[in-house]
Amino acid sequence: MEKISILPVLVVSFPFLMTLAVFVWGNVSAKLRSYLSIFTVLGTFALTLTMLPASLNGTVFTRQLMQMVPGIWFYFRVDQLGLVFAATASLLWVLSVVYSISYMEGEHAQRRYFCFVLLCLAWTLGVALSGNLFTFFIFYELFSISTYPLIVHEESPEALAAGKKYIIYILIGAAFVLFSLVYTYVLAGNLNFDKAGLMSMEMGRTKLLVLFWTFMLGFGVKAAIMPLHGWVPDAHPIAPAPFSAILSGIMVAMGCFGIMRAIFNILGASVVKTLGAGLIVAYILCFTIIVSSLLALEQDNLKRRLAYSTIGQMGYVTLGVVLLIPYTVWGGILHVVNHAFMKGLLFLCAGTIIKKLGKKNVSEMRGIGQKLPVTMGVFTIAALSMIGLPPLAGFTSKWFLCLGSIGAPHGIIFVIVLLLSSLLGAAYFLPIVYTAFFQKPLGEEETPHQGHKEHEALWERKPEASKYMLVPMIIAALLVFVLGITLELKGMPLSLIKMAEKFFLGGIN
Amino acid sequence: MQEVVDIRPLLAPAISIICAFLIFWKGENTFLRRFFSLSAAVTKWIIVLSMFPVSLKGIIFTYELLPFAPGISLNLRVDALGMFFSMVSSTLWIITTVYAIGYMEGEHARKRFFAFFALCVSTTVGIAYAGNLFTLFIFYEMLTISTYPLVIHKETPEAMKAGRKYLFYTLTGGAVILFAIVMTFYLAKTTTLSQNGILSIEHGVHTLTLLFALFIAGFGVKAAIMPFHGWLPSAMVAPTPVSALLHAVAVVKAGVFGIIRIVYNVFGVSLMKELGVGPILGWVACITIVCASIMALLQDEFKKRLAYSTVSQLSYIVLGAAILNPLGALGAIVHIVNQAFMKITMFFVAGSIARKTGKKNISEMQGIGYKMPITMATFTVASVGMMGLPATAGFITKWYLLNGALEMKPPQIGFVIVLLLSSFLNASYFLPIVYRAYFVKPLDGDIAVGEAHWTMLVPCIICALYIVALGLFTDLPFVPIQLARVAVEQFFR
Repeated sequence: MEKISILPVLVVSFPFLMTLAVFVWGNVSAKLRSYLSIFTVLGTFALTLTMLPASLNGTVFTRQLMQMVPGIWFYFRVDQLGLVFAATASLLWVLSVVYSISYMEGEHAQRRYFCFVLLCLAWTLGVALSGNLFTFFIFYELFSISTYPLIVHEESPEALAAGKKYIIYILIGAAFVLFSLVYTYVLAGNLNFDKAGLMSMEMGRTKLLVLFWTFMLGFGVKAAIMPLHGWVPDAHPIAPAPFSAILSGIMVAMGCFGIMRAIFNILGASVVKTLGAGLIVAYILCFTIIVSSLLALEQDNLKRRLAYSTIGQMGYVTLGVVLLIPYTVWGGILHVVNHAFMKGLLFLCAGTIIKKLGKKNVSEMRGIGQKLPVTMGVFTIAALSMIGLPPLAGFTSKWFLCLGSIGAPHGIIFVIVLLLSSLLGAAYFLPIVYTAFFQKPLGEEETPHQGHKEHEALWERKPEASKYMLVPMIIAALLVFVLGITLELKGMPLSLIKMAEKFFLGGIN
Repeated sequence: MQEVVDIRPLLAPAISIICAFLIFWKGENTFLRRFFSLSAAVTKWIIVLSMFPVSLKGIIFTYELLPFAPGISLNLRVDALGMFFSMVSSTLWIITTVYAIGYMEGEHARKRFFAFFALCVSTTVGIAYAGNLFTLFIFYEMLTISTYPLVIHKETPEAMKAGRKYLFYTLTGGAVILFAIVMTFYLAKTTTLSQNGILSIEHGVHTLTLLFALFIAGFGVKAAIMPFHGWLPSAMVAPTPVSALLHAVAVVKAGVFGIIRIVYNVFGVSLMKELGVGPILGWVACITIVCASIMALLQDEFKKRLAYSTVSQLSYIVLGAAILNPLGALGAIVHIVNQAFMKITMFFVAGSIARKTGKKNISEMQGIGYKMPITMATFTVASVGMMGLPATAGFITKWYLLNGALEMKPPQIGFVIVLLLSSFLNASYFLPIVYRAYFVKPLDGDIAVGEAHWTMLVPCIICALYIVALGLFTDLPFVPIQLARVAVEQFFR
């Protein structure tokens, strides 16, 4: 049931307008800027949630805004898939922004930082709630561009190099998406997301295959499918930690979200199934999952290790989607939500360690569990969830992925890959926990290092992170737990995902 | 079969979780820590015990916690077997807590120790009460994680290495189990444990055999079936109460318990017979029994010898389950409690000696019986039990296992030989310890009596008395073996 409503427009424009407010008054006082930012993210989250009850009953909010080119509208449409993504994003933004307030204290260019973070929220919601590929592409690109100032925030040579690499990768990806967009319009004459697929096999196998692969190449860059992942391990570690959380939790997932839209709404599940190319992608993803985990093992820089882990985890999502089995689709979409909070939490913890102790490398983290007990405690929860231990969130998505893929052709391979990846996850996450809690710091009694003097002083006065940093981390840890056990509750992500899956895969199963 | 909905299956594991959090919160205070530990242990024991008479009538308690996913929920279900396992672990929790209070005196990180100890017991009872494979798996993995801080308690490089080895083995085992559970759900569309199994021969012999092998390999890690036993001897680096309760009762029994569940509640007796995998499993167990006993002979470190003995004894239970007749099953289930009490006594003794005299190797234990006569007497009782002499618990197990093996069609003489050989091997690695303790004069000539603290001595005595009681009173109305009989009835109806 479709219903015309102004809500989607409001959801997107609210953070956008508030960005302007932060820009105007952002330099008046830090306090005002902080309050405005928190108000924005909380308001956006609340606005997003207002659409939830109706969406649970199957209502789809739509709103055409204006005609961009003849036949193509600037068009919002809130289906269940979009709402899941929007709600996840806006909640993660709440955590990240609240955390930022304390994290960014004393940093340069804070106004720029907060403006762009809020702007990115607006674009992300635009992507989530867009109703056709055209609108999608506009927001997708705006997001890519608005991220740049955040990635290079430090303005160090490394940061600028990472930013350059990022922008090259993303723009090339965008070119492929643009091509697919035009090609879709040529083939189908329509770009709307309101059907489960615009294509049919009569259009010609070759043409459809070309379209499929250009979509994959285009979105694959953001979704960090190997070998298109190059930007991730550079950009994620260099950004400020709260934004790394968003990069990892939402930005990469946005690539996966694009793949979902391409497969489910543009090509159509039945066409993709007939084409049979999904299986090739699935094998590439298996490669991605295993290799990225192996690479993660090698990294000493904590944020870089987390970045490689993201590549593998997002492989789960795409794998679930391309296998086109109800359970794997559930697992894939669910993993977007779960991963956002798990990995977001891990990055926030990494940020706290950097901020409080000035330590970036795992090898330096001996005994930090004594200094940051809460931070490392929630880190442990998130790490266990990443490994996929019940009853935490990460387990639920892994469960559905395994359950679905065992029924696929060669399904055993995928199950083995998923389980192997969990074990590799244990191999690269648990040593961090172990180093933090069970190893004694080297030279504990030594006088603090010259360069670390202010940090040392900081933690002697205040060993744990400030409450602005702690509260988001604790909320995220609770979410990781709650998402793990309340799967069947109405209003939790799975209830929406089931409806979305029924709509997308209804034709083939 | 009658089922009643009851909150007690939830309360029993919940008590120890609450206790763990209380200890995390206020555990620095020695009095509060002891108070929380002991009162939770006793409360839990009373809750479990209150279900015992009802369970004896064959009534099953259920409690649905929350739906997890389509077709799967977190639910608790207490049948006679689960009840049996939870009785063993909650009884021994009290005894071990008393022992640990004495043993851990002066150790570091006692708060962490007692908190995780409570958490482990909680998850063990969760495993016992799990109503489906899925719930079982959740508690099983939680047990893996919450045991880790106990294994590495000493934080020495050796302990850390043992911890890594432990996690590597058990997490891999967990992944294999998850694979098998997913496969089960795919085939049977449910993971609910049912008294007659949930799989049927229609799923294909090869698939089912593969599935069975996966389950055994997965649970076999914690059950220490060779060649998956490597972690257990290394984990002996943990403090003795941990070795006693976890590595003789909770963790390893969780693996064995899983195997029993797989054999009887997932596959079911008739399907197991059709597949013909019972004897194969039996022979795997036999190989473990013999090899582990021989390995035990070669160990000089007291706790390592006990560890290998555990490996061997656990396979008795697996063997009993694989025999696939009521007598064998009865032997297997009864051995859960028998082995628990015997082995825990031995570990208590090993811990007391190490604490009192600092001696860890058997070759140093000349004349220890002069010094600690009561402690060594309890050890002697336990050794005699392990050998399976009548009037001790071990005899009951052997009796049923031998009868079960002979009643198989055709009778498995091989199993009988292995069981008898194993008794002989048990004698040859336990009796020299007793001999050395009592009949060899100490080198330094110091024969002054000096027993361990009463908190460590009393648990030994209680356990030793219980070993004899288990061996003597097998037909009274309220003894564990009656519950085992009910469990067997539930499997073979």
